[in-house]
Amino acid sequence: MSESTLVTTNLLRFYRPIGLWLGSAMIVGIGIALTAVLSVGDLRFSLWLMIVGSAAKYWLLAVGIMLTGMHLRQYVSAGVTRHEFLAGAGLFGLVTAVLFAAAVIAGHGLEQWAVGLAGPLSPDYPAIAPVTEYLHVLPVELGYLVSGTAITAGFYRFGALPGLLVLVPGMLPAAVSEALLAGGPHGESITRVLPFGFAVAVSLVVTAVGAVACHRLIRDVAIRRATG
Amino acid sequence: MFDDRSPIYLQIADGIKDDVLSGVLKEDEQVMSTNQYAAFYQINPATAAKGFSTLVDEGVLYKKRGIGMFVSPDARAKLLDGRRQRFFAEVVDPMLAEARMIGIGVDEIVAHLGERK
Amino acid sequence: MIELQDLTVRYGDTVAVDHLSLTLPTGKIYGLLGRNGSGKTSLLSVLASYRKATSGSITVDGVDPFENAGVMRQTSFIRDTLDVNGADRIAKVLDFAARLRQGWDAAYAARLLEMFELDPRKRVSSLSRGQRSSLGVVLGLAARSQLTILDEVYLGMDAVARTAFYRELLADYLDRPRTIILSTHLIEEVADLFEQVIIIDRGRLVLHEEADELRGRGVTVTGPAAAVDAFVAGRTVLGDQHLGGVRAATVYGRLAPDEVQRAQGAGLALGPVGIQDLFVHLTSTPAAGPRPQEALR
Repeated sequence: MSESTLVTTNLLRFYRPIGLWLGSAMIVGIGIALTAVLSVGDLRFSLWLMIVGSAAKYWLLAVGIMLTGMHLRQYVSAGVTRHEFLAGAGLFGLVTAVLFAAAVIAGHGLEQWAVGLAGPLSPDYPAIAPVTEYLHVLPVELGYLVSGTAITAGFYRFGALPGLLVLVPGMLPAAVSEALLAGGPHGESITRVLPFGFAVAVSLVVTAVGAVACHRLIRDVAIRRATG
Repeated sequence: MFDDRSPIYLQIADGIKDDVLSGVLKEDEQVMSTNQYAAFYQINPATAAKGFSTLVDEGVLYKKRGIGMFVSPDARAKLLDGRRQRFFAEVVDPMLAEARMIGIGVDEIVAHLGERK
Repeated sequence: MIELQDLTVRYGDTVAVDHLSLTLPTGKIYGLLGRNGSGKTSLLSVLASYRKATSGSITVDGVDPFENAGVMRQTSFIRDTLDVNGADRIAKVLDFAARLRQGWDAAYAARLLEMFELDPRKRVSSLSRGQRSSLGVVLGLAARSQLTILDEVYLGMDAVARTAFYRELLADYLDRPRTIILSTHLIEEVADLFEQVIIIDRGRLVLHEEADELRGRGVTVTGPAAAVDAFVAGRTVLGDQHLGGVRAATVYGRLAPDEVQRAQGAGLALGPVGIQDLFVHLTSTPAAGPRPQEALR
């Protein structure tokens, strides 16, 4: 196993219990909420998409922050080079975003099925459109992940005050993805400003540029004691 | 354990020499290895090794390859000889200088020595 | 062989390490002594590939360690921040080390945990200062890295724990020799373990010698001021104290037996200078005065 792969597997191992806990809590919590809602009337929107769909990006943001804020130091001190860490963490981030987005879509499907058991679906309820939804959720997650990593890397490398300079460009992957593809008030898939295909492409390109920036910021950074 | 005044390796060498002179260490007896010495006195093994190699240079110890360090067969005699030669210069002369400084005559010293014979 | 050539580490306008050159053969226990702000930590950070030098070169067995997987795999740098996830339990921290570090000895780590009375179920963030240091020692020793750097790991440890640490360090080194660099303020306690001592001050190398040679390398000469003045003329004087007509001068260098007799004849009292005191004198020349290395010429 190469060192980068070791990094990826250990990061996955680290976040697996958290993911499982969150997932279980979400399923149970939303299950209860659904039962409550359905007892008084129709479900006009997807609770799952609204809660989990919009929260997903913040969880990926948190992971992005942790990667630079804690894991970088942790792995370098265990003998991993920064390049190896970047490769391993990059793959981990991608896998996490892909799986998380899949979980969002799967959850929507599960909700639709469960609600359907209780009776005919309300016409307002957004029927699942797996590919479209997936391609809305994933780019936004990736954008937030990369922004989290980049902004934290800026502070880590340059310190508190100069780090602010990285803050604005660092926000772009998240901000652009958010503006173009983020879910509506009930988590439903909306495409803004640009046609869908272009929106996805632009979002991914900006995120890719952000990822390159992370690479530049981290590949020779001094391993300091703490962020900022 | 060791004092600040001189390098530890010299103190180690002197300690072993004293042991040879006093008979604690017998001729052709094996001495502790440098690692054992280091662990026992909690010092760096290189320091112990330096002390030992000083003694090898002086002919007090010899090395049997693969086994360890041993006291040379004529170590005691050699050490006694050296100490004898230095006795008058390093012990008696300073004693006489001190005696002179505080006003004790050589006759007084001889009388005292006579009592102690 | 670790070689530093003209190494400089700069933070903006501040020069932490100033054109430092040093050659360290591997396999020895080194003591790195320096005051706070002497550049010690910056130097160690560069050695551990935690930081790139601003200029100059550093090689470990011929290669630049920065971002070199081979060197970094074989290097352990333990500093007071520990660089572990504070929310983790100790057991998890050790498990992580076991997965990432090739030479990790889990059985040894467990033994060390017991020795330092650390509960593997406790979270790192809940440990006391001394316990954190003990954990640092466990991480540093159980990794058995070819280059082990321990930066003031003893902070907060009580005397019993420190003694256990020194004992363990020596025992493991005797068993598996490697390069160990210890930076410390508590010099007297651990000086016997060093093979070589490196003293740095204000970013520059003051001294790099066999530790044992430093013993007896200083003498305090005390007596009537005039007699002391006469005796120490022409010698390097590191420190001075006056009380009434009495002067106590700390002189750098060893006295030959005849010089000892001359001093005693002149009514002067001679005393030893421990490595710790020597270190203090060598690194406390005021900023405006001659630099310590110049004082030694």
